[in-house]
Formats: sequence, C-alpha cells, structure tokens
Amino acid sequence: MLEPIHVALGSLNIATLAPMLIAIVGALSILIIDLAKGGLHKSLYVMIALLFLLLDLGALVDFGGVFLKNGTILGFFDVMLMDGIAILSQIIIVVGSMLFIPLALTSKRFHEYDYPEYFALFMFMIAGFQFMVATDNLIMIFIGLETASLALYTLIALHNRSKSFEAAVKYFTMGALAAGFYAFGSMILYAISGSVEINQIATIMAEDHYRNIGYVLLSMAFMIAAFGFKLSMVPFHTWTPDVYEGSSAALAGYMSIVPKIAAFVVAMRLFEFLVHSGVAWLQVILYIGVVVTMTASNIWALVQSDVKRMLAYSSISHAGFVMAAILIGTTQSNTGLFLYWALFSFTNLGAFTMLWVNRQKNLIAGQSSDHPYEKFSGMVKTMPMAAVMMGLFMLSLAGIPPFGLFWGKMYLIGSAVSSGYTVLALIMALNSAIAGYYYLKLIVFMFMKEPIVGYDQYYFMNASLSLKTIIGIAAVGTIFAVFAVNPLLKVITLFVYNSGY
Amino acid sequence: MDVAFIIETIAKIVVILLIFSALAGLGTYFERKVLAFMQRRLGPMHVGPYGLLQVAADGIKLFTKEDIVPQNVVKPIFKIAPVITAATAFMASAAIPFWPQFTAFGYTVHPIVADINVGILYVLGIMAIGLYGPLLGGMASANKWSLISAARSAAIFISYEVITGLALLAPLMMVGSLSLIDINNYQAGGITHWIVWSQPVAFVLFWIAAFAETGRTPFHLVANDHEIIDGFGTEYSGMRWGMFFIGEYANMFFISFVISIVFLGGFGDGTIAGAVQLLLKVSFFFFFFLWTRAAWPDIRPDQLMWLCWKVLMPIAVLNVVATGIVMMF
Amino acid sequence: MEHYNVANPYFGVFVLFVLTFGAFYATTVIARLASRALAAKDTEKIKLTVYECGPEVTKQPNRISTQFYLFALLFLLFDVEIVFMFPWAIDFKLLGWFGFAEMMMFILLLAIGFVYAWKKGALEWHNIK
Repeated sequence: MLEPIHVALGSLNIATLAPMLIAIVGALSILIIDLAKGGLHKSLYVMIALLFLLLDLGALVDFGGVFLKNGTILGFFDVMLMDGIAILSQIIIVVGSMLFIPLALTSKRFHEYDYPEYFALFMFMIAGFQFMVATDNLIMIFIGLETASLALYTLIALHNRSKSFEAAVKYFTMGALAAGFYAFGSMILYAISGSVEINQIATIMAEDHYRNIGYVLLSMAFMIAAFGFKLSMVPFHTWTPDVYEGSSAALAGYMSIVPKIAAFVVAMRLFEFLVHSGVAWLQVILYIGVVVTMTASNIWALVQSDVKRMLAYSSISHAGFVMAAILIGTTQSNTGLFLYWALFSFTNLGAFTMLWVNRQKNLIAGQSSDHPYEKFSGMVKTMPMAAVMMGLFMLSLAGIPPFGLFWGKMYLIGSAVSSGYTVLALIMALNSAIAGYYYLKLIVFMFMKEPIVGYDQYYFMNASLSLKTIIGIAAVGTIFAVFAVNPLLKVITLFVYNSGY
Repeated sequence: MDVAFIIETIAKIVVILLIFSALAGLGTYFERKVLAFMQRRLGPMHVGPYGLLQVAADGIKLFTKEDIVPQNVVKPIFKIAPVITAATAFMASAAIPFWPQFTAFGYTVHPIVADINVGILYVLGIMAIGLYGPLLGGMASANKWSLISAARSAAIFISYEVITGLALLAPLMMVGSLSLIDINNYQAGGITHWIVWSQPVAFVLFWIAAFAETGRTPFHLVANDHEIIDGFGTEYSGMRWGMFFIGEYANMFFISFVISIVFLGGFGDGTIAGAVQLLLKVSFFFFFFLWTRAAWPDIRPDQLMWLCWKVLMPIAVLNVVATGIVMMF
Repeated sequence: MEHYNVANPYFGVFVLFVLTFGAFYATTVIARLASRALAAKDTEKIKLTVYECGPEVTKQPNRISTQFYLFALLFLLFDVEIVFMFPWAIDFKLLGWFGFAEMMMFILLLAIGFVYAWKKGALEWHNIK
C-alpha cells in the first residue's frame, strides 16, 4: 500500500494565486449578486469590477516588491511562476482592464450591459489572461488561453448585432483552430522532452544538443500558427478587421491591447530560448513574419474607408512592430516591448474610445459602415475639443514626438540597431513613415474639410462623464509620456533583467 | 504473448458473443412472457413448447425480410449505425468478471476478457460510445421522428452519464480501485460487506440511471411509440433493426452484471454458490427491467430532465461529499 | 478472484473490438444476402419514401432545437468535472486532508455554477429566461 501523501501548505505558496483569485472572486460575486437580486443597474457591476481590479492591482504591486527583493516566486508544484515579465504584463492587463470597464457607462443603452454576466465574463477573462502569463507550464497556458478566449468570444457576441454574431463566430472558429495548433505544438514538445514546463524543455533540449531538431521545428510551426493567430500576424490576421468591426469599439480597443500582451509574454517565453540557441530556421521565419506583418498591414490600412478597420490594420502593424522585439531577443528589446505596449495601451484605447463616443445606433442613409472617414470631416468646427483629442491620439500612433508612442518606437528601433539588426531597424522606421500617412488622413478629414450635415449630431452621441474621463486619462498618458518614459524604463528594465529575459 | 493466452482470450470472447447473443434473443421472449403474465395474457404460445421457438421464428423472419434502404438516407452511416450499437454493447463486457476463476483440465481460467485496471470506467466509456448507434442512425435516416429520437437519446444519455459517474464515485472512494475484480473482492466477506448497505443512495441512483443508459421504460423516450413511431429505428427493417434490439438487450444484461458486482457483492468469495448467487442477482435486475416496463408509464422529456438535473444530480453530489466527510472522520 | 498478470491487458479489448464489429457486420451482410435470395420483393416506389403520413416528402434538413445543445454544454461542464473527480476518488485514502479540502473547494465552485445554471433556467426544458 502506498503511503498517504502529505502536502505542506507552506510549500504551495498559495499567495501566487492571489491576483487571479481576486479576479475570480470578483466574477463570482457579480454572479451571486445577480442571483440574489436581479435587475440592478450596470453602474453597480462596473464599480464592483473596478474594485476587484484595484485589489488585483494592489496584489500585483505587492508581488512586484517581493520580486525585486527575493527574485522569482514559484508556487503550486512550480506551476505558477511569478517572475518580472509575468508581473509587468499582469499590471498592463489589469490597468488596461481598469481603463476599459468604465466605458460600459455610456449614455445610450446597449444590449450587453444589461447582463451582469458581461461583467462576470470580463473578470473571468482577466483571470484567464493572468493565468496565461504567470506560468511556464504549457497546459496551464492552454487553460488560461481558453478561459480567456471563450469569455472573449461571448463578450463580442453579446453586442447583439448581426455583425457582432458574425465576428464572434468567425473569431471562435479561427480561435478553435489556433487552440488546436497550440495543443499539437505542445504535444510535440512534450513528446520530445517529456516535460510541459518551458524552462525544463529548454534545458532538456540543450542537453541533447537539439537532436530532434525536426520535431522542434514542427512544433514551432504549430506554435507560430497559434500565436500568429492570437497576435494577428500576417498571414493569420484575416479575422482581425472583421472582428474589430463587429465588436463594440471599446471592446475592439481592448482586444488590440490585452489579449496581445498575454500572447506576447507566452511567445517570449517560448520562442526566445530557441532564438538564442541559434535555431536559424525560426529566426528566418520570425524575421519574415515581422517584416511582412508590418508592411502588408500598413499598406492595407492605407486603402480602408472606415476608421475602425483602419485602426484594426494599424494594430496589426503595431503587433508586428513589437514582435520584432522577440526576434531580437535582448534585454533591451524586451524592455522596449513592455514600454511600447504600456504606451500603446493608453493611446490606442483612447483612439478607440473616441470611436465609442460617437457610436450611433442606426446608420444614416448613404453610410456604408459605422465609422467612415466622412463622419469625422470638419469635426474641428463643431467639436474642436474632440477633434483635438482624436488628432492627438493619431499623432501619437504615428509616432510623432513628443507623444507617447514615439518613445516606444525609438527605443525598439534603437535596440534593433544596437544588436546588429540594421536592415530590420530601417524597415521599422520606413513603416512608421508609411503609417503616418493614414493617421494623418484622418487628421486632414477632421481639420481641413467641411462638416457633412447629418453626421455632426453623432459626434458626442454616446458620451458620458466616465467616457470623457477615460479619454482624459488616455490623453494625459499620451501627452505626458515624455516625463514618464525614463522612470518607466528603469522599472521595466529592472523587472525584465531580473527575470532573465 | 504466449499462444495459450491468445487462444484463451479468443475462446472467451467467442463464448461471450454466443451466450449473450442467444440471451439477447431469449430476452425478447422473456420480455413478452413477463409482460403477458403481468397483463393476464399468455404471450407467445404457438411456436414450439410454450412458444419457446418464437425466438428462432423471429430470427428467421428478420433474416429473410426485404432489405430496404430508403431514399435520402446517408447510406454508409445508415448501414453502420446498428453495428455500432450491437458491437459497443458487447465490447463493454470486456472488463466484467462473469464468473469466479476456475480450473479446468489443470488450466486456470479467468472468466474476464481483459483484466484492465480501469474496469468500471472502461465499461461506462464503451456504453457511452454506444450512443453513437442511435445518434448516427437517427441523423442519417432523413426522417424527422428519427432525428428527434437521435437528439433525445443524446440528451438523455449524456445527462444520465453524469448521474452514473457521480453515483459510482462514492463506492470507488471506499474501494480505491476501478477494477471490477477489486470491487468484488472488497465485498468478499459476505452479505454484510456489500456496498449497498453503506451506499444505499448511490445504489438507487445508479439503478435509476441504468434505466436511462439502456433506454428502458420509464425512460423509453428515444423510441416512444405513440409520439415518434419507433424513433431512430423508424426507417430500419430486417436484421439492421434487429441489431438495435440485440444491443439493447445485451446492454441490459451487462448493466445488470455491473450493478450486481458493484453494489450487491458480485460472486462474493468465488465459490460456486457465490457464482450462482451472481446469476440470480443478474436475473433479478433483468426481471426488474421488465417489471418496470409492465408497471410504469413513460415520463415526459421535461420530467426526465427535471429528475436528472434537479433531483438526482444534487443528491449524487451530496452523497459524494457525505461519503468523504464520513471517511475522513 | 485474483488479477492475472499479463503483458498486454488490453489485448482482449482489441480482439473483442475486431471480433464484435466483424461478427455483427458479417451478420448484416448475411442478412442482406439471405433477403436477396429469399425475400418477397416489391417494386412499389412509395415504399422507399420517408415513413411519414400525409405530407409530401421533402429532404430532411437535420436541424434540431437549440435546447439540445444547451444540454450538451451542461454535460461538458459537469462530466468534465466528474472526470477530474475519478482519480481523486481512487486515491482518496492516499491524498488525506489535502485532497479532501481541495475537492470540497472544487465542489463548492461547482455548486455555485450549478445554482447559477438552475436560477437562470438552464436546467429547464424549453424555458430559458
């Protein structure tokens, strides 16, 4: 007979679960409140979500302190892994979510916010993303990925228009395929190494000198397809514009930030040890992927007639830009990734919130989509403040100094140059220049054209105090990034360097 | 693998196939007789003594009926579906010990086809695969009654799968093994050691679920004659239709074996007396299936789902929790 | 009864798989041959149509009520939980208090989900709120 197993509670390090547990408890309490008393106003759920996200953030900041003092924290039989990049990305996830959730307090009524489940699913999704980044166990990553994705599909569909159903089903089918690819990839990795922990896989593969390189490459092909989908890299990007168009503008903005940072972190854990050990094939594939993603999506963005689709393509391009950091794989570039994404979340969320503010319920005659460029023409004459805000976000996205994203771009290009990727740096710079064109196109529409009668009533249709506050926060984050970059960079470098990336 | 083992396995399988195919045929005879007596009729009387040869007559009739494949059906699936039902029913028998081990001509025979360590899980799993028979048959038939029946059988099977699983958990916690042989040995000490005394709730739950798993009255909604003709079997004729019946009756026998072994001590310590007891228990459970059919009306689908999700499932979970608490203290 | 040790316990399962499918498929083939030789044939065309009364026969689109999909989802939820519980039940005595507490927590979460599904009417037949 086997001996009974005794597990000391201390060795579990249950605290490593705290941030996710807070999010899950938040979700459950929203559900329970709804069960106890239905029909409550959405603002209550927004506040509950905000409260738990705040607690979550507090726990993460606390972890940050512990990390800087004691190094990486492991828990639950080494499944949970709280290292610097996990904490950093979770902070970005939680802050992004905190900026997103007040966008539910619109002045118009929308179908999805009548359901408390919307907020519960949202919290579950955050927990899923947090699990995804705070582990290097392939199975745990899969569970986190699926928890988050399934919740996200539902959130998109809850918008309750035919386009959003289309978007949700499209995203779901493609996402299921990507999940399948991920499962195949991790299966092959497990088959050749006998472990599901990425760091052990790296050790085992280094020990036998990549004897099974064929299988490694096969699994990496699956993994690139899976993460290419999640990060919307060309040629796996096809779902992105449709899904962004179908979901509400706020959620589209959210989708361009939070799921991607989670996928970036996993890609970082998975691809970087291979890039560093000189698997040339992977390097070449990543190189091609990065360049094609940046360039092709920029060119597609040029010909869009809808601002939301343009922003969708631009976010693909930004993802390709940041993917370069994983290709380069130095501490400097990884730091650049987080810096870029932190700045990008403010700017992009601001831009999408501007679209959310002028969301109209019905299209007027002759309008082809929700947010055509014409809708914004001459905006400066009727709504000067809003036009200035939108222009600000566009300039920042284009990378015009001194606004937020300029610093991210500069730092990333700098890291490319300093590690010898001169051609890549040149391509990145060129792409920023191309991107400038379509961002400026919107500014031209807003500042230099005459207003079109009929559209002006929609400019602030959906605005409420909380939406304006979020735009204000995003604007402040974008404008004053110049002062924040240096301290931010120091902290990020400290975290990234200490977790060995 | 030695040759003796291979021959032994194949011999056992052939014996099981023959015995239970015959029993499935006889099962229809028993059913008609039992129902008849309960309704003060005589049942089949004309073919052979007491109508015993009725089974053979039915078989001949099934074999010589015209082989009809209706239009619009998906032919390959339509043809394979009955085979799946019958074959999976028999495959489930692999992990069931039918008889204590005995020695014949100096050779010890273990009357179990495959002594696998996940026994009961295997039996449940294969029985669940049996769902594909009605499901595929119903969906391939291009008939709305068949389709409704296919959807219903899927809903009922999978709902009651939950009950079977949860009901079995509590006995498994006590035994600590999934093998039906271990479960049998756990109760070898005689009638006081039977699991039914310590797990009466689980026993009743499993018994109820067994009716749904085999699709018998009162859960006979998959082929509820007065509303959906013959359900998934509507478009079938001849031996293909007969396959569904063989599968259903074989399933009834095997689930009776499982209930007897898990809850009622099986063949106990392995003497001949114990083995005969096992057969008596199995006969009782088989008879109970027929008895219920004579005594109970079918229930409605909504009542069925109500019973499964709102009554049986909470009870089953509470039973697991209670067992855990009692075993910990 | 004792276990008997063989190298391949699943060999029997495999043979059973081959033999049952083979035997029952052969039975349908024999039945087909027998009926071809013996059965009274009828060239009546209506015989091959769908077994329904009255209405003109059209091709069945094979669509079923979404209600059934809901039960499929419920099954996925609860049966997957039970799959997690099987190994726990087998090793119940080994896992001790740790395993017990862990599973009670798990069942508590399951219960919250169950109560939620109940209140939302997911367990009703044709009555979703």
